Amino acid sequence: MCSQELIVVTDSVLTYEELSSIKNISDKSNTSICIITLKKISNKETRYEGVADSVLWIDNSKFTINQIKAWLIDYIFVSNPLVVFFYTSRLCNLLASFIAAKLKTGIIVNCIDVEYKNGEFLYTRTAMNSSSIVKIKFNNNNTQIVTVLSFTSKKHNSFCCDKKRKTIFSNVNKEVLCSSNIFNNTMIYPDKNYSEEQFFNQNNIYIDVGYGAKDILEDIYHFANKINATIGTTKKMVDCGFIDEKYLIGQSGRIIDSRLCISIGTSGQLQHVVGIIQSKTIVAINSDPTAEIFKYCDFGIACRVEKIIGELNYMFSLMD
Amino acid sequence: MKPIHNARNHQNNVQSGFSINPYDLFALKTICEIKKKEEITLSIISMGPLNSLETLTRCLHYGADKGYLISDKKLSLSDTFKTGQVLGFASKKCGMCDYYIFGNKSIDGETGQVGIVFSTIMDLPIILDITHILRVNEDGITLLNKYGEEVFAPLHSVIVMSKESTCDYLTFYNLKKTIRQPIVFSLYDINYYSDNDVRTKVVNIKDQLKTRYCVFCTKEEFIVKICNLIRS
Repeated sequence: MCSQELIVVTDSVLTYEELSSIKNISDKSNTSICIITLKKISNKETRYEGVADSVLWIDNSKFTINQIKAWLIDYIFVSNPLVVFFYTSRLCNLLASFIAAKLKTGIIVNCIDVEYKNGEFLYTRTAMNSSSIVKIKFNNNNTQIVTVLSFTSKKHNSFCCDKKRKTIFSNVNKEVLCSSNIFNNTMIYPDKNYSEEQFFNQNNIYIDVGYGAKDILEDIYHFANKINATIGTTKKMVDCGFIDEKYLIGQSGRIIDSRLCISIGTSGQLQHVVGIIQSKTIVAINSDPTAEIFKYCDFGIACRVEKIIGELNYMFSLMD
Repeated sequence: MKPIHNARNHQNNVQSGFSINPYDLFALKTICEIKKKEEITLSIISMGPLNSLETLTRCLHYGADKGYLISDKKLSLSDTFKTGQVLGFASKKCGMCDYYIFGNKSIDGETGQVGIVFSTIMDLPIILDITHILRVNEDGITLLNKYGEEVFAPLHSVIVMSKESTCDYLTFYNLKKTIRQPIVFSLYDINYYSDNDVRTKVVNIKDQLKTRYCVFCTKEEFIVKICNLIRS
């Protein structure tokens, strides 16, 4: 019987890889798993069965952020879990920050790995403009609040669920959620629906699009479709409005560990490279042969990106 | 105030080894612009070692009216929670303000938590992701966030600016007209006596990402290699 609880808060459906990591941590630390999904899910979400002890879901389109925040504060305060992992999205990041501040627990953000050693958790994240990897631990015995980019450094080869573990699904309804009133300090934010789709799938190929490729986005999307690759991008592209924020890779976005990452027109700034460096093979295309990205890739070509993408599109259309 | 790191070169204040955080710098410049048109008082509160005093003076050169530095040996290894707490106590000591403006995040830790901790401790509403200040009225300020939405900030709220400015350039006129100096407070001065407010502790720092050896290819080689990789 597990004495303490590990809570996972997410606003998307967790991938099998993420669930494997969570289960691994839970087994090592002898904790039970409670998954709180800020998204309407089916009561028969099979991937959670045998992994989580309980699954709570909230339809976030029906509530404001402040309401969800107040309920979560109450819930975490009462259940006093060992750790709360917030899987990184904008909504989860905000909730984690406010909850940590209100419960005075402290917070470690954007973790890329977690270890359980000698009875304590060690969290890994990047710092100093992504040039350093830092291991941090909590100083006290309070609940540990952590936001997670992804736990990708240690692979768990197979996804195994515990068939004896009975998963209880329950919906947090309006009566329960709106009864929480502990939180006075409000966040002023235009109300909008934050539910996000699971936009990053399990594809093995990523196309990482940088500012140098801003003029040939259509060609790149066409190429990505052809090879069934997922698009990722840099902060500059997001800031300039070329690609949506949900595709952001790097310190403020996702960390990927694909089989192949094709980096097109990215300069190779550290805060972005940290997001792709775990990929098995990195290929770079950039017109500037002195670009930093060439320090982090396995092979590359210094030439105009549109030439290469045009050529690749042509090659793959011939193969069809 | 942040130690200058090799990875990100800022133009300012290299002698002292400290720079103004680019997010804070943007906020400072924006407020100083408004200050030219509206009658407002701008105070800067910062936390750091005494070496960073020169950088705080620089903020006064930009047009801030008052500068306060919270400096104490007990503040070493502070995490975001403690920083937020200390700034909360310091702001109470310096007198309550109509608006508290924060930069989005620091350039070393990049956690973006201090403004949130501060707003929670002070029990003030917070407005995040602001890129522009549109209008200043008696009732409040109209802001624009990075999603292009207008947000109204009532009096007594915390505003977090999420745009950065790396161009720290002062004119001779600015340098000449400022005679004020920042005031240094210890934790005792701001009535902060707690010793165990650091919630997290860094146990290990490893430098640098591993670089790889890049093989430059010709166009033909590149196409063949990439096709093989994609199809494998």
